[in-house]
Amino acid sequence: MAVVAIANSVLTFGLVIVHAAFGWQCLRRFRWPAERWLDSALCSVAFAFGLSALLMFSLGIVGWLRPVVVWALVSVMGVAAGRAGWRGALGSMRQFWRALSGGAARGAGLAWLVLLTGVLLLSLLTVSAPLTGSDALSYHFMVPRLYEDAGRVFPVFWHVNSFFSIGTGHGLILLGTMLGDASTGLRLCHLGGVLSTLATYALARRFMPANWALLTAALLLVAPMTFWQMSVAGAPDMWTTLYTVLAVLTLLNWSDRRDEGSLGLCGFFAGLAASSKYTGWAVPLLVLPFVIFFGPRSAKGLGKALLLFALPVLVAGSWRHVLNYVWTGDPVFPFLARLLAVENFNTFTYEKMLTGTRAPGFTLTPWRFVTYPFLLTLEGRTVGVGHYFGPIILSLAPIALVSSLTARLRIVLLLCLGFFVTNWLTSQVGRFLLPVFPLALVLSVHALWWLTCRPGLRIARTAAWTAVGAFLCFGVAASALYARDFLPVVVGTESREAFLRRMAPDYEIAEYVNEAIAGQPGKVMVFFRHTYYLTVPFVHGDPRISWIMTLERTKTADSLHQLLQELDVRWVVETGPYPFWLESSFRELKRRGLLTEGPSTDVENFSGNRIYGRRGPVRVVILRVEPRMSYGAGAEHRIPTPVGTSAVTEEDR
Amino acid sequence: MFHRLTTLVADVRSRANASVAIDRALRDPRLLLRYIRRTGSSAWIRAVFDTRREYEQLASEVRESGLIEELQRGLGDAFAGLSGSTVRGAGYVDGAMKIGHVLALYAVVRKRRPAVVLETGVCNGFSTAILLEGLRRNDTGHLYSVDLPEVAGDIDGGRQFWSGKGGAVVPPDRPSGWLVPEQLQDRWTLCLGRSTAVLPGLVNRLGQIDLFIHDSEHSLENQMFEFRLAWQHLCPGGLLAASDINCSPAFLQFCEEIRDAGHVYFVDDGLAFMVKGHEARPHTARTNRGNTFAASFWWQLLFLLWVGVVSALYYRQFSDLVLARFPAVRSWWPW
Repeated sequence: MAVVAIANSVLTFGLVIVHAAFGWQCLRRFRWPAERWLDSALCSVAFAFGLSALLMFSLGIVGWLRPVVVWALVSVMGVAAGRAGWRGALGSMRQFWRALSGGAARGAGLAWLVLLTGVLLLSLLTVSAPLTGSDALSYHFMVPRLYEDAGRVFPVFWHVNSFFSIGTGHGLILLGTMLGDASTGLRLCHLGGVLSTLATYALARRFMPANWALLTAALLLVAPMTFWQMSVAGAPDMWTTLYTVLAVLTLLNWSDRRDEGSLGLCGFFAGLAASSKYTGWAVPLLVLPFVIFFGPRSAKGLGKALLLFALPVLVAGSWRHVLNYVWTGDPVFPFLARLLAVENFNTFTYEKMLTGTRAPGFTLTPWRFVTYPFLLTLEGRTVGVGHYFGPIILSLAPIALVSSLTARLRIVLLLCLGFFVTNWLTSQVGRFLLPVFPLALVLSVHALWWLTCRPGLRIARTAAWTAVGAFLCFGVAASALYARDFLPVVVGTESREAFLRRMAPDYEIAEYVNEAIAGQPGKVMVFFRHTYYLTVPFVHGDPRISWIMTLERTKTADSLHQLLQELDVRWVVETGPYPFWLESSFRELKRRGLLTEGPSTDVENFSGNRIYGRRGPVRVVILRVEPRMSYGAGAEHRIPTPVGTSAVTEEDR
Repeated sequence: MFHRLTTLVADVRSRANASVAIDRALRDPRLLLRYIRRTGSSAWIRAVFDTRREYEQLASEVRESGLIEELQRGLGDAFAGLSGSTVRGAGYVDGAMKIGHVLALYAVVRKRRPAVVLETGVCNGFSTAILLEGLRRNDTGHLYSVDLPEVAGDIDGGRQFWSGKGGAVVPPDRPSGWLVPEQLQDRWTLCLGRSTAVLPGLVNRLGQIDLFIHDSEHSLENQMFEFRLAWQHLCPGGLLAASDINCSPAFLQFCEEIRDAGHVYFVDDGLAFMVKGHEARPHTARTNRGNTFAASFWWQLLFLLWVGVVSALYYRQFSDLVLARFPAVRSWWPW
């Protein structure tokens, strides 16, 4: 385990260096002036990784997703970096080392640096554990694995998240898993967090002295949300955060210098943020007014500036909408599916997606708007675990209100508020605010700095610092306690299998299905969520996830049986009650003997969120789908054939 | 806002400033916007002083001392019969700093109590005298001045100056800084010569500077030279004051150079301060009322209550998580 972890770390580090060199060379070609080494280094790495992610999907579209092609791609990047690129990348590393070792931080700054390093090391250890994140096992790593197995990108209609949840960040997971394994993909997710921390420091440094910028970065890193997202979640959300922060950083650089390179980069990063998540479109849309405001006064100059910004946004941001449109006829599938009358519309999936991407109690009333910031922090579980961001922003909000901001900080504030309002209008899910969390922290720490520099305010200062100190202690303790579950497997005192049984949801079910059906022809229909560790061919049967399980295809036993046969499903794994609208059809199939009970077992699984550690027994029953006479020309229904594709979905696996 | 408006109106009421403002508006409206934005900005006061009242009290010291009137009288007498122009065609003027600027510098000297003040550009010594008055009242500190005066009527001497120089001269037969009263001169050292020649040796001798004031040749090269050299020798938290910052792009260029290492505050469109290093302070452009409110005991108490309630409610959310993972703590867990 340790050897594999070290090898993966070396591979990830190598990827970073190659991308830094390549990015450096690209930015040099685009004449982006390197005013500060940290800005340059961050933009180089983020630019090259963004390009890599786009290239991975491009390879997937033409069906060239092969490890050898990806290795060749990385090699070409290394060669294309040229001497200048390598010199630039290595120079950045030297600068970084000099900044760390040359006494850049003293006193409080040193304390923040030690804290940052400690939490980073802890997260690095945690990320060495096998993949166990819930969303990662369901789609963040699951869908890229399907692409990798098929050698190309294709629509996975039995997992609707593969359309709206998969974005540019998943290109990096794909890059990692193709060059190494899931652990490399996880490390690239972790890298997104490390780079976001550095970007937060770089942004804060524009407004504050180094010690305060380090405090901002430390507050970001110890927040449970960040630690969770960058260590074990296996989600590429920290890359969205990085692209958002860098879009703001380059926007500010452009507003200072009015250079075309910064504006183009700003557009590229905003586009990458947009293509990482649908909600990320708020970033380019919010940046756009500032481009118009700061742009040249002449119509021609303004037009050029808008083009410079919008073109990279569209290139980096719209590719997956084009893909979705080609595959389904809905560029934001499935959200406009009803409006655009997409063929084989699945009400179950659609409704589930609408409710699943909105917080419970979603409502657009003024009262909800007023209470939303409080709910986020103080009732976080009800609004998308918003409490994992910590109480600092809410605690220091009164200071931020009375302190004053520079013009550039007002831009940060407006972007933050804009994103917050967009989030409130669209989902009211707290964790979707992660991309602007660093911006909010910069504003909060700036307010704290203001408070600390003011004479007199001893009571307020003590209260604010107590809140910050308490949160830092809480964050470190929470991170350590959270990491405790993952460390045994990392240090080798627990086997991988034992760890996965203990920590990966649905792992024991998947393990049992793998053993029971290994080598059998046909596919398995499953109803459990975390399918990453299934090694047998499968499709998802839950209509809340699977677009192919439409009401028409499942409402009668006959139609359901016909669907199973058309999908080549020979087995159904029963892990509890079926969704209620399928219950009668399955019961009828059993009654008719078209579903016969096969092997079964009792396993343990998490009940509720894993973090609470509650487990309960689950009965796993494998049902055999008995063949019947073929459904001929008179059959009522046929497998839904999505727009623009043949029934390609799973035959490629 | 009110302060800004009154300062702006007062500034424009001066005919010279009004013509400058109109000229800028015609040339480029953005210059006018910049002028409006900078003039009357109170950010620098928040950065250097605890309250606006403190600044006003310090500034009123020198106003009420009668020194300004005395110096203005001296200048008026000396320049009453003096007319003519330099070899570059600029009419003779006394070159005295704006009253607002000298008051700002005086208050800074009083507040900061600098040990070493270095000034380039003395001419008749109007601002020098005010600075020395500040040091006298502080009863500490020494002013070093570097100057290469242009003497009215000295045609040959006038040729050595920068082509963009205005008409600031000292009357014939008067030395540089002649206006400085004798009783203030014990804290003063005057070095005559071009700053590029004199300054390096002087700053090396002084070591660290607490306050540097640039008011000599406003060419790009000379300004950049002085700013860089002075910044290098400025102590952490030290102040660099630059006068006539619009004569060349040097000040803005220099701001870009040192952006990470300090903070910039504009007194108005002609004078700006840079604060070096770790004592850089956050932007504080709020009205004094806002600060007073923030400083009030009740506000602080409210804030304390707010932080307490938010923290308590926040950490309480993790109760069930803690109890689920650590059942042993159930006996003493507060929630």
